[in-house]
Amino acid sequence: MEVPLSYKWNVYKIFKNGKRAKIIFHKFGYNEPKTVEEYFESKVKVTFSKKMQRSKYIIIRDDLPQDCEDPIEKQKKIFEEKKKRVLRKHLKSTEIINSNRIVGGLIFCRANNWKWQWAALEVSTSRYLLGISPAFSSHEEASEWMQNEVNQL
Amino acid sequence: MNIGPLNWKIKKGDLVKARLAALYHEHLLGDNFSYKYGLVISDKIDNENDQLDIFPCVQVFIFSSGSTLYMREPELEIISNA
Repeated sequence: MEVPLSYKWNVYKIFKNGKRAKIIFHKFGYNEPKTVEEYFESKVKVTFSKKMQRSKYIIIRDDLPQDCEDPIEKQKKIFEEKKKRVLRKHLKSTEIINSNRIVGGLIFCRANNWKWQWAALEVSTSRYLLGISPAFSSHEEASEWMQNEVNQL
Repeated sequence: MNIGPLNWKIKKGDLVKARLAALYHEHLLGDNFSYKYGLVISDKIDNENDQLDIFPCVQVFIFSSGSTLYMREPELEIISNA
């Protein structure tokens, strides 16, 4: 005899800004994936308080990935992390004596003759201290340099 | 008619707020303009002999889009001087 598959479903609240909550709001069991939305609206949602019934929800099957992050955003985050690592690596190799904290970043200022350059900057004032990359005439070239450095990690 | 010299305050390296035409989805929300932050990356471009460049402008690098635009003074608000 065939045993019907039993699925568990996680209900997440969707905020007014369109983002999804990370914490599961409600869990329920239902066997038919095709009609789960209808089941949720007619049987599950009615058990919520009146205030919560007005909210929007998304249902995700429990055995599927629950990531709410956009893959493009995730890639961007990873790139930003790697970029920080590259900057830290270059800052360590330079010998700058400054009483304030130092941070790495891209700058376009008079001190580097109005060129785009990844440089060591003073925290809070963003004052240019020392270039850690060649100076570039355009933002694209500077981004390309950083992309190459990230690829070499 | 001789128009007096324009009181031009925008310099290279200034951090500015640029007024741009709103995108389609922003129009739907009722906004005619969108405001983006940017950096002035050129000196004033002013060529009185060329009618195409009759209005002085500067090149502005827009942070959010990574693009460079030619903008006139009324479209810019200085956030931080260079």
